[in-house]
Amino acid sequence: MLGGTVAFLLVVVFALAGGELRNLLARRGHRAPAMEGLSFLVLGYLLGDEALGLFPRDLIQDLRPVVLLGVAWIGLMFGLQIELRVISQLKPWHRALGWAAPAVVGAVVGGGAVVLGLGAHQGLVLAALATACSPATLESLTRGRGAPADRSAARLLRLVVAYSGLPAVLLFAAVTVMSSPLATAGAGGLAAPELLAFSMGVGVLVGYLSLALARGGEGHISLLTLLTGTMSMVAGASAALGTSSLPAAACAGAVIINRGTFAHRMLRVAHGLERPLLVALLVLVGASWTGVAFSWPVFGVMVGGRWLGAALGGGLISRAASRHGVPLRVTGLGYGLLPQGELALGLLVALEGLGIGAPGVFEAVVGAMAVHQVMGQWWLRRCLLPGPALRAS
Amino acid sequence: MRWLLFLVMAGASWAARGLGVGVVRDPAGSALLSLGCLIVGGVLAGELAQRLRLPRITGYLALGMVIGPYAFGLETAEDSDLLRLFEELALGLIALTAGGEFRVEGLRGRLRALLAITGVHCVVMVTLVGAAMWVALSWGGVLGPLQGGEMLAAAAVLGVIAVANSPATTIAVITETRARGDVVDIVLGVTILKDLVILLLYTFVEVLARAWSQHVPVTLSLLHGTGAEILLSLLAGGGLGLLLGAYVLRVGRHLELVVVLVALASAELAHGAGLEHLIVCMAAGFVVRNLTSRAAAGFLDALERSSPPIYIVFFGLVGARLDLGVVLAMGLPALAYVGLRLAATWSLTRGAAHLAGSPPPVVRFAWMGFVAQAGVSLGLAARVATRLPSFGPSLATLIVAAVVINQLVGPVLWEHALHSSGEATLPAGPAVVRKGAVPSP
Repeated sequence: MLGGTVAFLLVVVFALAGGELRNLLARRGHRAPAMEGLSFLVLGYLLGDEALGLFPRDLIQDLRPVVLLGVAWIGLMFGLQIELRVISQLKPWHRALGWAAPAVVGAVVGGGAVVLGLGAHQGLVLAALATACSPATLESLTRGRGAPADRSAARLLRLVVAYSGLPAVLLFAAVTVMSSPLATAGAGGLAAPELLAFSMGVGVLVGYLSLALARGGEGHISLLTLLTGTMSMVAGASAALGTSSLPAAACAGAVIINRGTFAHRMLRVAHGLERPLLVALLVLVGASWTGVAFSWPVFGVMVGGRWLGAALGGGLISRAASRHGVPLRVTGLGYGLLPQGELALGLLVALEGLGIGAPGVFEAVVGAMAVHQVMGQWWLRRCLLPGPALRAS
Repeated sequence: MRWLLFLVMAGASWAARGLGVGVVRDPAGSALLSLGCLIVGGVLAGELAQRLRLPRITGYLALGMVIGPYAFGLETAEDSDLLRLFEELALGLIALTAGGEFRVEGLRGRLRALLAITGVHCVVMVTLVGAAMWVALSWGGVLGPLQGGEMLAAAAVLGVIAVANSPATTIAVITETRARGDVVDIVLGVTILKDLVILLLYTFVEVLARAWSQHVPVTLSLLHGTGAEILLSLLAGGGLGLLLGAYVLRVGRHLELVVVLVALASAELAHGAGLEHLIVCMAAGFVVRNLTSRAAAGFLDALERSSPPIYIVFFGLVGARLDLGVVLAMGLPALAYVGLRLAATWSLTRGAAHLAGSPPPVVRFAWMGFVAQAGVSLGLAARVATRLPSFGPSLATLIVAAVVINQLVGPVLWEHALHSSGEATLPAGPAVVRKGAVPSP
């Protein structure tokens, strides 16, 4: 068994290795970020209790500050992409589709969980997790080698997938405040809406604080330090309230990107730390995975429900597009909603940290995410990218 | 406006913690909250200190004291424990910097001064302060009724602890002012040498103190153990330095992260093998600088880039451990001890530097670099409290009170010395304050 410092060292080393691997893949034009993510999950699993036992549970608990900061950072990165100026330029039907298609996926999964008797609360938890898709995966598939067969379809799908984070984070925020010990404590606690307002208020305040502090701070290290400080505050305050920091950090990010004059520099700085933290989270998630507590019903709902939801969502996209005079030439567009990325990982880690969800849910969702990453990409590539004949012509 | 936002945010965080008390229990979250307050508040406090023509680290220390467990309690003692990793990391980086700044070629003309000042501090100052404290103790009864042997032991311990300095503070102020020159080289050299000697000296005095106060037979096995620890630390640090130098030369990538890794690895190595973390890192920095000199520039650049944020947290945590209440409780005795130490440092350093033929700025200003005390002294105080149970706890309180005063006064004097001697390359005061800027290298 390792000490806390060595474990932290190892995580940093993996993060370094992750950055190098990504650079290597990018140089070779590799288009499968899922494999990189999965490799770190597997690495974590090998280091964890189930295999080598180098990262036992109590050690993962020691590294909890890193996990909390990582989740807040994912929220910040998500928030930094919510540019109201860009969103307001979208057509109303694009925005509606952005809400509706991921919501269909979440509704199918949540409904499935209720039908299978997992309960309304579990249903909401799984729906929040199922709604989050991976824009990065789609980006990597539709850029670089082999342009998509139908550019309009690819563009529309990218838009919907990018939008999917909003319903996911909102639903997730609602689930976490409802599950907070403060909201369920009765007298002396806070009602869920009050808790939500307080938590979001902290996020907004931190956003303005970050902007005020960063004014004039020029260097990369200055901005990185300030963002680390403010995100630590968000993560700490949220943990004290028994909620997740991800929605509050997203609020902070949204304030920074929409109110700041040099917000894109902060986005670049924040992006620099995202990869190491993400790798650290992947390794820790992998190490936490245990086959003993695996909920097959949840796995079934997450895999089956998301595939069904994705098919229905894809149909919705096609119908909406043709109704607005944009006929799509590809089928199976909804499979683009299947791969899940950093946002889903952040939500999952936050849920695990808060102790929300029945035993085995975490393991099952990790398993389902791995399946979606691999199979979803395969299907999507078949549907969206041109075949060899077309490519040759 | 920025202070107002920070205070509102700190208030909201405090309210959040208050709401969660008894319902939500998450030590990691609490520690992160403290970390956030230390970083954000530290940036603001450092900036404010600089506006007041004080070193930034005085601002960090003051903020730590205000939000620490002895004042507002936004940062609890449990948080400090969880954030210990940062302290280890910061100490490692500081020691790497200290070793890296120590150039063999720079020693040639200054060796006499280095040895003279170190020797005078370690022998004359210990004797002088010890004797004066023995007189004061037998006259004042500050530590309560002590027997003859106990009084001698307490005086000897106070004499040794008067010699201890804070390498972290010395380096942090040098980095902040980007100072270069004779005063810097000599103060840094003496601080490093004293850091090596102080452990041996303290162990020797502790053996004597236990013999005098508890009538334990004098045995030098403890001294052998400490000597071996220092030697092994130097060897381990040398090995680590060779590896680091080879990495800088052959790979040369992610250097900021690699120096952080080395500092952490050294902490773990020291913890596991019973070595002295500070000495391991100093030796590693020294080897990179002097044996793999082609790697030195990249190595020092990386250190300078990665250090400033760590300093904020480190000195904030040090400040949080400084209890102003102890100073008030000890009052006059602590002030008398501090005054005596200050007078001894002033006169002995000037005398030794003059006799060694040092340049005038060294004679005039070097003593100001030996005032600050922090981690080493606090560690020795904790050891005094446990190893000498009959009078150790009250002696430790006196030492802590003196450390608080020295740590508040020391950085201010040291920065003043660097500016007055003309070795600081950055001007003091508001001219260099950039809003929101973490002190950049």
